[in-house]
Amino acid sequence: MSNLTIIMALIALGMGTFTVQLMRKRKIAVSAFMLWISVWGGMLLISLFPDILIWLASVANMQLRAYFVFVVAIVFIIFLLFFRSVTERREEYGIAVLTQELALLKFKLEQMEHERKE
Amino acid sequence: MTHNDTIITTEALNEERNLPDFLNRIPDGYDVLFTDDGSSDGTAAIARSYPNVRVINHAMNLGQGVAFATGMKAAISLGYRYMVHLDADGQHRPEDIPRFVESLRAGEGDIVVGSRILGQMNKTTVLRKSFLPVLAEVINKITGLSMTDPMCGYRAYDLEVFAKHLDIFSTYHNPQHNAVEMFIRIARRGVRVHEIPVVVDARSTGKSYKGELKYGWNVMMAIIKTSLEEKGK
Repeated sequence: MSNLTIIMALIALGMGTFTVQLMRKRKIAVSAFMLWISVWGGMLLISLFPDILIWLASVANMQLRAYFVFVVAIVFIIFLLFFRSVTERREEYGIAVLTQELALLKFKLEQMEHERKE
Repeated sequence: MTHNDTIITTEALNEERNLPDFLNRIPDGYDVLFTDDGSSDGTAAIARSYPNVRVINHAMNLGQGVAFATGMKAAISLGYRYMVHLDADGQHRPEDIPRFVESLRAGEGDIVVGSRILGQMNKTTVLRKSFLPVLAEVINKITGLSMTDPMCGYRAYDLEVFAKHLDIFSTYHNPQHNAVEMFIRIARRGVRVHEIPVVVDARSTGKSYKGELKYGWNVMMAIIKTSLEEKGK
């Protein structure tokens, strides 16, 4: 095992443990937990069995393992960004609706208070 | 003279310097509904100091389009028939309010829109002046309306009609450019639009939150998004 694969395995284990901790403290959504645990699992698997990467690179008709890793990483990040932007829009909309409804409810309460005083 | 069936709505973000002048110029007898869109200065406190002004507070800044929709929803819930909306930064002349209300009462339209092209634009930029007719042409092509200035924020609404179309204002796709979205949507629903000439001045003080290029870009995005949405229905 090279130094790099040991470092990769340690990072994957450390991040995996941290992700589980976050899940236990309910600081991460189940879908995000599943996604990241899969990423750390994949990273650990590749660092322990580097031949998998060689095989995958040859299946994808790529001469170097590094090319394969880069392509997978870039595609993964693009997908992540896309779905993140969808989620962000939904959350933005939800916040706007809630803020508006809160403002209108507060306004109605103030009006009722005002009418009661009169 | 009181105008029990009409309410003036406006919204602002950090306009404590322009607001007193604006509120002082509102013709007598009109109720005002002011939406404070998350200001961090004394804007809301100034508005509250006027007896004819009711204030709604957004806990955070949501943009002019959402603040406008908040005002309209509140105006409908308060039972007003007509609503005149104008900017509180000194660009729109409150003295014109009665002309908008008269036009609505005469049944000239379900929405009466102020037009700077039919009226006058004081101290505007060349870019904006040349952009407005192009934009009007684009919106007219999409909607089938024949407007000269769809982006003018000085408008009056018949709330009896708009109460049936409140969903138009609940998409919040482009909080700063709700006018484009609104006209594309109301055109499909047969809401009648009428324009009257208005004079629009330069801002009294302070700066606009709408940069020229960003403004143009956001307007184009709003057109694309709303057109796609409406086609999907």
